[in-house]
Amino acid sequence: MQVYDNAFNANEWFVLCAVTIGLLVVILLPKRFSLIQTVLFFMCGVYSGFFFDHTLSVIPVSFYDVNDVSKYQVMDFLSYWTYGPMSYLFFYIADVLRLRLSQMPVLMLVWALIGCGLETFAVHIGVYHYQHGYKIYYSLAIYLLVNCAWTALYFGVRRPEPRSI
Amino acid sequence: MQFAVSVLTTWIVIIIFCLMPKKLTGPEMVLLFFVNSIFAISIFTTVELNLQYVTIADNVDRKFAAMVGHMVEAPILLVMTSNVVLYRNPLRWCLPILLWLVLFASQYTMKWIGVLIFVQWNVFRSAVENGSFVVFAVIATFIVKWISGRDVNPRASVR
Repeated sequence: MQVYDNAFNANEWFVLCAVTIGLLVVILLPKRFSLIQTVLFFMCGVYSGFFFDHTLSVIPVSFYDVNDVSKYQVMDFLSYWTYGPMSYLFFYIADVLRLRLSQMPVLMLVWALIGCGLETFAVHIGVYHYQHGYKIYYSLAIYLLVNCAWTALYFGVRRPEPRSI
Repeated sequence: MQFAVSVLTTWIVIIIFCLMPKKLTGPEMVLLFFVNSIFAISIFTTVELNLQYVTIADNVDRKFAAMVGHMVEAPILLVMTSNVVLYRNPLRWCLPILLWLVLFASQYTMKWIGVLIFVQWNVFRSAVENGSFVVFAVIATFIVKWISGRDVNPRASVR
């Protein structure tokens, strides 16, 4: 087991602040989706975080560790909830801008770049610890892949637009 | 080889899931898949990584086999559980017990083909672990149905 630090410091504060601010944004934004869609769009971000972190950061090749130690901790569990507001805002912006499927790749790229920026900051303050040559560029590809899945989900559950006469 | 067995088993579960009568809408099932996956992945990681009661063989083939089992097969079985508890059949509560046994069988199949190595594990712990998955899935089902019932936003409707 690898230990990076034992103190309650920047990485823990980052996770707690990100979850709190993210939840406040989700709650305070004017509602655009039904309650089940809101929960679904939020949870798909949390699920994406869980899925990729438990695929990429486990043996036999652990490309990165999350937070203070390589074991699974409560703060690791909380850190995946920071992806929830990210996914909700992705769907929210797509809905506000009434983006068509052909326009979605632009939002996907912008969102992937924002994700990479936030991840770089998180690496800097010790939320993620890259190993085995892992680089942020690999995350860019993963974010784009995740955004493709989110787009498919969005067009799958969205209410069909009424046809104009 | 273990990976192939795991994928084939999972695909059979997917076929059964596709053929079974559904009582939940698409978004409800996707949401339950997410929630059940998060719960199952957290439990598997705690048991395997933190407690080290079960070890996954340090081999890519076996690791991927375990991942398919943990991240696809188990959550789909739990979404099946969610559907069957909503059946209007007097025997509907027997079906989650059947799915609990299927989860049990799936775990012991993984042990048998060498994907999981039980270190400090026994049948009782498997029963508790798989039982907790089924209980969680049933509770999550009623929470999701409650959320669906509270939809009052006329602008958005679920297909």
